[in-house]
Amino acid sequence: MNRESMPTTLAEVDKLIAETQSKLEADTKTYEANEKARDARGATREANEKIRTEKEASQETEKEATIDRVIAEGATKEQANAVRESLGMEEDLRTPEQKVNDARNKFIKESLKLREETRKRTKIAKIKNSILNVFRSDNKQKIAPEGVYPTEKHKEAKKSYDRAKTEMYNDMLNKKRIELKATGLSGKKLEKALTEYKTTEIILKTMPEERQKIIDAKVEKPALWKKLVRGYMSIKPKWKRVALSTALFLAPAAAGAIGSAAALYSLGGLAAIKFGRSMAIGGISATLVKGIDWLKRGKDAEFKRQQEIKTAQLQGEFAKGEMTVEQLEKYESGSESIEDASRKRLRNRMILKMSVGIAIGAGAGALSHFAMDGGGHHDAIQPDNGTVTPDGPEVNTNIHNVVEADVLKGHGAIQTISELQDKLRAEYPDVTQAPPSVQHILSMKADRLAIEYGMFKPGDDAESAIMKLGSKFEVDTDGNVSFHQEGTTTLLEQGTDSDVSQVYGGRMIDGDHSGRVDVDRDLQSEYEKMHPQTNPEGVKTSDMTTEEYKLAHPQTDPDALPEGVKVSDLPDEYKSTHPYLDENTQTPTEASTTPKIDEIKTNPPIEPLKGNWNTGNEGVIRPLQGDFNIGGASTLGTVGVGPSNTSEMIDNGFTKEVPMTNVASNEILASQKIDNIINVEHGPKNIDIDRIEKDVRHLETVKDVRETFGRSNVVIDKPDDNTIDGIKYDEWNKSVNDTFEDHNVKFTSYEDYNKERELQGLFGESNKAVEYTDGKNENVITTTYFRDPVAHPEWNTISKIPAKNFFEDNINETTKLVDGTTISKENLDQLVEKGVLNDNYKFTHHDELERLSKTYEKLVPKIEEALANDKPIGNETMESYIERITKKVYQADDGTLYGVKGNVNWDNQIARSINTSQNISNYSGNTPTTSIAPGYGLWQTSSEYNRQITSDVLRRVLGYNDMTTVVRNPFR
Amino acid sequence: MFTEINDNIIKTLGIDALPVEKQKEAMEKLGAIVYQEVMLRVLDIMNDEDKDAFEKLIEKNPDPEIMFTYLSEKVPTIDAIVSEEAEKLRAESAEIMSEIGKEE
Repeated sequence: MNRESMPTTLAEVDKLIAETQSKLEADTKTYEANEKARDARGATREANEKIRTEKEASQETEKEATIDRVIAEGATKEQANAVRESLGMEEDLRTPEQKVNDARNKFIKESLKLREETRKRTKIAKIKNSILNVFRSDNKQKIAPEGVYPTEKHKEAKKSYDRAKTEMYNDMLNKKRIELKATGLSGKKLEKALTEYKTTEIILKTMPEERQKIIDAKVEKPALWKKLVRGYMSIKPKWKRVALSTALFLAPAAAGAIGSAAALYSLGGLAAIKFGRSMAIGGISATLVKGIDWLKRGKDAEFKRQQEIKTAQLQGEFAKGEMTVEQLEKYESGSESIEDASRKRLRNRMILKMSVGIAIGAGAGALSHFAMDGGGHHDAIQPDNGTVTPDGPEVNTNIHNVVEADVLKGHGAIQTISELQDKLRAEYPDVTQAPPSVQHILSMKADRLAIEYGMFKPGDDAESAIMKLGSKFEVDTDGNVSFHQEGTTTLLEQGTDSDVSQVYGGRMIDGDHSGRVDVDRDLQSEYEKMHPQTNPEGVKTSDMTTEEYKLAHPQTDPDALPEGVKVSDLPDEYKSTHPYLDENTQTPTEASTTPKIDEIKTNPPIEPLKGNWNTGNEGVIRPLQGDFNIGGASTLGTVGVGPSNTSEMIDNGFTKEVPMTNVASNEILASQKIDNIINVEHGPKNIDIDRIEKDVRHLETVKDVRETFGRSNVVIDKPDDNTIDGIKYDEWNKSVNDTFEDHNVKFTSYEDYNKERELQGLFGESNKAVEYTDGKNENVITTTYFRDPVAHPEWNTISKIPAKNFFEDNINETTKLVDGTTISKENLDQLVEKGVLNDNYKFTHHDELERLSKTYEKLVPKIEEALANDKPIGNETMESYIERITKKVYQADDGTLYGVKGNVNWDNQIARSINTSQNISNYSGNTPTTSIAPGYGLWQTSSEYNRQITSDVLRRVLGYNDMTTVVRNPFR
Repeated sequence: MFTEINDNIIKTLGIDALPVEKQKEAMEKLGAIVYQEVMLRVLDIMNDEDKDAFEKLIEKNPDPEIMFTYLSEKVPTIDAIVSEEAEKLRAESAEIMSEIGKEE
């Protein structure tokens, strides 16, 4: 700018500035336009380049695919190269390993892409399924996400990868073949060596390595993954890891051991497979069977615990003394039921093991063997030629379940050994395959074994070993037999030896009172002499009725005549009813299992009324004051002098055999109708025979009971089959039956029964536990209902109440359900449209509740209790009841839960949920574990929640902005 | 369900001819592969909350029984997944044994 052109006025300056700005702007626009044009050209170039590259790559891929196809169709290497040349491709000089690397990389790339696509699809499907799954409280019933649908590219990449691997494996094998041939190997030896190479180098090394590379590439959360792998590899002891690995590799059958599908194959299918196939894989079978036992051990422990509870309860009832017909039936049926449960469990375990074994080709015979006796003595036989070779697999001959026989109340050594024998017979159905120690045990009578073990010393005053409750006999997996009592273990027999290693050295007791009581043995009848061990109370069998006689001899065949005994020797009543008399001719027939006289003689007769006062360690023992029931409802008062140690008496079974003096005995005998006294095997369960005979309800079978009482759904011990009048039964028992019988409830359909069963959990004597999932945004309350396992050990069922029961009226916001899921208003509307919910979201179980309310009308407790238990109060209407028990609570953003106190102004009386440091337990199954006692929770009685509030109110009153509504379990 | 492969897998793979210790090693190795394949799939199915809970669970107690119990709850199809992955590995292994070296 020259001087003349310089602005001289302010207006000129402004003008100049404006012109300059305008020019600058124009220049800028031009520059930007040029830049854009340049960018566009560059982008076009890039796009063209990309298209060209992709086209080339595509052509290359197509060519490669063509080559792959040619090879797959069986072309030789030369033919493939010829095709390659015809396509203008250079000869593939990559090594097999390089080809695998390339193919693997492509496969991984396609797999990851496929995974992403699948996730997108799954996400959409989940939204759809979540609506339908809302009402599937059981995870297993929920609709699973859609499967993976590979793309064409993925399929092609996989094929290429597989072919590359095959080529590599072939290459490896060929090189090995050349190497082996060079050493002079040929023919079958060469083939054998190559097969071994395939197994050890390819199957067990290269292939897993390849797999591992793919797995590693797919891992998304390295930290979690590391923990998973480390956790798996640190499973100890090692055999557990091996067992789990084996189970995993041999799934599907073994998958049942992990999850729930235990028996994938039917017994019929198993039976169809012939017995006696190769046992060459016995080692794996045995490991696996052992693994299954291990994986199931939690359930085993619980099963055992439940069996013990049931047994103890039964025996406790039995030991009370007076026994009605119904109680006797209960006892008998209960005992059978417990035994039946054990048998079923054993059978189911056997099926599982058989299923697993089949998967590894062990054959049904071998499987049965392993399943039932845990393996036995087998030679290491090569599968094909049957010859024994030193290189053959070692067969594990010592895999058995541990067998235990616990000392039960009132049982002594002989009875417990007898129980052990029963269990061993079940564990070792083929005794010839059992360890020598087990064979020895099973070849002996229980009393003889007790003598060998030093637990029974006939002839001594203190002839019986003290058996404490909680003591047990154990036969371990190697067949070693031991006795455990009060922390002391006595190894009675080595598994490999049939000789007794060590004898019991503990305290003995005068169990048969031989040192105390003396009665002229001539007073005994011939029957007493023949059956001395079954008549401990000295009742003359000649005075017994047939039924008494049978009951008094439970452990022997009551129908079998001892050798040398004629029917004419029998008591008159017995003569006409003995089963070995021909019905028409009254001709005696021989019993098939007649005990031999000399065997009987080897057991010194127990002479309960023999001898004088015991001079042993226990001091004078007498019946417990006022507690000695000698039959019917009668009881005796004080007799003799008190025991020196009552607990010892009880521990050792003296609740059933009360020792007494001659005087006391005579007093009793003289004052009581001996005819009416009868003892059964298990304890002091004196039964009034008159009552049995007179009671028209003395029914022997379930069928009898049904007919007599006219009820169709009675279950005394177990159903005759799996249905009750065509209705499938499940978790049904006599207690349930009795309850409904009392209230004249009869089910006519399985649905009815199922509803009742579910609702049982909500009422009556059910308890509740609140499980609380902590953490922000995931505070979820799940209430579980259960029967008190102490008061009701027969109740094992935990009823999870489905979320569908807990919808509330007029929900207009996203709602979190008790099972942790949330449901939107929109989804709720959809459910209404589908008719799943009523349009106002009320209980869908209204009818069921109403029906149940009537059923339980007589059970309704006082109002205070009802409030605590959330039961219907009196003839409370269902509407009122539902309103009362259907409540909301609110969760603040710090996780605290709030509700409203009853009968107060709900705008300003917000009840913070109370501390739940008491009365709440966490339950694993129905076993209380630890108190979960969160700092806050919902343990108030329902009266504290009898008003409904809105989150708006809470926001206003509490000043919280982020409130999540939690629909509260209405039954809490 | 019951294929030739399943029925004779141990023999097919030649594992039965190995010494017992090697048999165990083989099972361990193959089972570990199935385990990892299964875990990949179940992790893919589980949501983030469940994964976090799972991670805490295995940190606290890596007992496989507890772990699989948890997984059974969260992934209802786990039995089927185990079966599928095991079957895949068995099939691949059996194919290698039968096809490799065939043309020679």
